[in-house]
Amino acid sequence: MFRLLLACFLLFPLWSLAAEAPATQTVRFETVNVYIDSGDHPLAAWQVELKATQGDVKIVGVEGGDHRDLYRDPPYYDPKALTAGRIILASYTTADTAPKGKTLVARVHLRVFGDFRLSITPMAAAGPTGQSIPTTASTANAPTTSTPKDKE
Amino acid sequence: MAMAPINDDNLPEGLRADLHRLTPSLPAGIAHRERDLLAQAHSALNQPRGRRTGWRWLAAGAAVAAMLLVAVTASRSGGNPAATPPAPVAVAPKPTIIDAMIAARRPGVKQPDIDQIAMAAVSIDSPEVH
Repeated sequence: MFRLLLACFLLFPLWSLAAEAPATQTVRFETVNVYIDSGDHPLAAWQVELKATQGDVKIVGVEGGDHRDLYRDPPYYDPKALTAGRIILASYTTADTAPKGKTLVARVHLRVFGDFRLSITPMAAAGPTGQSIPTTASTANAPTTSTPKDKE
Repeated sequence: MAMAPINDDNLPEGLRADLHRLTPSLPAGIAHRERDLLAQAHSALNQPRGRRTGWRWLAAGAAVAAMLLVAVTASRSGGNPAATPPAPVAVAPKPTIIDAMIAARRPGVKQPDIDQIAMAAVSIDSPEVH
């Protein structure tokens, strides 16, 4: 009987440590590609809002896209948005040949803990002459809700 | 309703003289009705209850007049009688990246000015930042 009690006394710390083992969720870094689809219209200027709608998400970096020489530089963004869960990205080109269709315009780096979800909303887009054009915004590599631009 | 007969002694002298002078020349029915109305008014004025009712009517009328004054003032000042109309403030719309692109295509515009427009377009000035 004494041996049984001694065994329980010795094994209890191990059992409690196993019960308090942390969950499998850890901090990780994700890369999210941001796309603008302007259809048949040349995309000379674009502006989108990207924000986390679920989870612990921090934006830690912004890169440009990879459409030849256009939009390869990082877009404009507010540095205050870094370490936050919301950012406005925007860029333009004065080139005569603006891209059409679905264009990778930016890549955003996130620090994520656990499950998360993003929302992307196009805020403005224009052709080379400055006229507004209809666009849709989307992301890759992350669960995202694409929200159409608010009707004005 | 039975009315008490008119007591001419309580009437002012001029009114009593007119009453006595005019009553005989009126037809009997009209004169009788005149006497009744005069008696009713006379008795109402001389009763404390009639005075209280008169004061109540006066207070109610003053309250209604005050409420009408407040309502008219409020409707003219947009709902708050004490509020003064705010001075119109011109708020410039927030620029977008389209404004920056148009500026960039315009000859003579310097790059720092274009960047300033673009940064204003992407600024996070909303309380939604978390």
